Amino acid sequence: MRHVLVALVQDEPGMLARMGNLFARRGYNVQSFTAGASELPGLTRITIVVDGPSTALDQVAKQFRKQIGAVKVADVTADKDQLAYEMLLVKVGVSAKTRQEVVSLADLFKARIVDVSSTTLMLEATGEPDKLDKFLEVLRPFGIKEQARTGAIFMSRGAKILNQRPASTSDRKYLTE
Amino acid sequence: MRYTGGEVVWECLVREGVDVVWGYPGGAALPLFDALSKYPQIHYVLVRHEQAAAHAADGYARATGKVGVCAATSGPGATNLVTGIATAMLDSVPMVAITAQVADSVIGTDAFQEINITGITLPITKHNYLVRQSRDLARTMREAFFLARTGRPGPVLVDIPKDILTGPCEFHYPERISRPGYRPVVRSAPYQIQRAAQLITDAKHPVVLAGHGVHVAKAWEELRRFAERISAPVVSTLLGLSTLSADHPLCLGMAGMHGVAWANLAVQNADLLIALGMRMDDRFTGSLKHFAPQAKLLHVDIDPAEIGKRVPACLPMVGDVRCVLEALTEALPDLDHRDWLAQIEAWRTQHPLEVHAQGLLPPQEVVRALHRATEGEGLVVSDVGQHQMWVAQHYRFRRLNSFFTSGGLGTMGYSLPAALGVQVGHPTEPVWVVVGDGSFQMNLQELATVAQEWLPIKIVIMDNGYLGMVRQWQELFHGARYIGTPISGPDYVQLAGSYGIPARRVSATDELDAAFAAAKQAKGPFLLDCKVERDENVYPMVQPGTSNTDFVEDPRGRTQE
Repeated sequence: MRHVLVALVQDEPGMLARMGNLFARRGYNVQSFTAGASELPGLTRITIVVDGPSTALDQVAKQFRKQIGAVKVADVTADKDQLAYEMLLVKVGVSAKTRQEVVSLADLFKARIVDVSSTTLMLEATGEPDKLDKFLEVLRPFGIKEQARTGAIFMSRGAKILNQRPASTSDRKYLTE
Repeated sequence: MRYTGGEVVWECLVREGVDVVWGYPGGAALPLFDALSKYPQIHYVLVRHEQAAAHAADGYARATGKVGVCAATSGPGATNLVTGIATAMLDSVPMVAITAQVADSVIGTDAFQEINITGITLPITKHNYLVRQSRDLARTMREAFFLARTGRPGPVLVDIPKDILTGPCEFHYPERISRPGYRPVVRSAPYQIQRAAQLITDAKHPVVLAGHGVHVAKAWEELRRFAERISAPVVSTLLGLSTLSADHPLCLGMAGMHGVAWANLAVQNADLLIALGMRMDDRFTGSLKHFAPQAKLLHVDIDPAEIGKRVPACLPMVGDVRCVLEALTEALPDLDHRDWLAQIEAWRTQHPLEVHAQGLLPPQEVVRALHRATEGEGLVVSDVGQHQMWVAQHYRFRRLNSFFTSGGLGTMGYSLPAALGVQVGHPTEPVWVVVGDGSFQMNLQELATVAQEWLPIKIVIMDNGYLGMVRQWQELFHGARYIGTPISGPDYVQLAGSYGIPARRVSATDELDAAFAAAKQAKGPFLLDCKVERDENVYPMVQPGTSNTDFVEDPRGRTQE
């Protein structure tokens, strides 16, 4: 089953390798691993989508939480009230005959045409991963020359904030022995 | 005052109260070792292989509860530490490993003796650092010690480029550390204590499982008081031996693959297991499907990732074993389990731990002689293999925290270098090393370090000319095809002699007591080469994949009955 973990980690060298290593060790197939700056200075927000049995995922999440530098780790798989977005760039082969058809499909999926050549069109689309899958499916007959996806990022709707989930650490920044 | 980076490292160690460092110099580490001349308060011990430096730091840490420190140069110096670091990781031993790195400007160019040691040690350290700026050095050292000893302890590696060690470096040792997200839970919530107390009060057949975490938390007294309060037997893991005196009526000894029968039967028939700082290792549980089928599990560990990892916990309690035990003992009345204890005594009588071995020198008798010589009060370091299991079974540890061995990783070659550390931690009394001839030959170069420091380490070699534990498995599961297990070696008495270490050969049981007396009497180191029976197996044994109730006892014991 598909699982989604969202984490805030300290922006330090080797941190991403550390996190990636955990999943490899447990034999998880990582579908996507996305990292970028969060709203908090010095903290990177990571989104990991993995495929694997639920029982072992709990263990991976615990191991993840244990990493020095992991400030917040949340399993948001069950969170129904959230948005998932991903970006896609795809280069489709076109001829004079098929170009218009691809342009209208792009319209239908609210994709933008970002580059045009005599034999190709490059399209950019943003949306839920499922929508992008469907978009790629309808483009496939035209010939997909190249595609790149960013991997999905997730965020809860409403006032809920990742860093303010229970057991937050932000109020205990300094540790003394 | 201006410092070099090398000096800053030693300044940090002084502030952490470090008095001994195990190491081996080298090109990139030159500025680190050069600065050492200004720090006479730190005793630097040159070992003969970096692996030994890590094991020695590990032994020192286990014996004293302080952070062990080892230092090596870049490249091969650093990679030689790896097995020692992994050993410390698996057994949660606080350690700081300092490695020199090639100059920052050439990192990533495959420079001479360059290796990415932070990459290599990523999965076997609690955390590691490559210092890229001089100004980060002192803070990094501070964090390394803090992380190594707090929470669930473990090894932390700090890799420092040569130019940082050489160059000027500001020194400010921070008092506080900012490590957001790192907050080991020490005390369990009061409602958890209440739930646990209820479970314990309701149990008819409770068993306490004492693991290495009891040593780590220094919770020996708390364990004894707790066990006495609830009148429950205490079974230990391999590393949990010597958490409670073997003379204590509630102490059952070790359970698991080579555990004693009554301890395994107690665990298997329990209705409540109170696991303390132990991780349900496969060598302890046997087949999970058959493990303690009627038991609820109350699992106490400071590392939440250990709870529910292999055996689901009925009540997870994240916290420091000592704090949890104090609170639990407080919350519980005196309980009485005399029928349960009588049942366990009956099992002990039915399945006693006897030596059925024939021949001139059964290996179990060597351990029993060691027990007599030390009256169960010795500091014992064992290596890995059959002899390790015989020590675990036949040596009755009366003294707390007196047994040191590589449990999780099962590192052959551990004992002699680890004994260096245990000995420096306990300078006034001898340390006993029990080691097979295979394990001994993995790190016998450290005889030179023993002689150099003239430490009163007594080495007892269980010399059977086999890699005995592997041979036992070949006999039982691989058609007795002894491939790659017969092992030759030097004349150990002569070998010791060439290092100036007195030694003696023992070939029969009746020579044992005199030989141990001689070893004990010697002021310095001593080596006993015990030519034990070659084909002995460790019994009882739970065969892999079977239940801990299905232990196999020594067949020779049966024929005599």
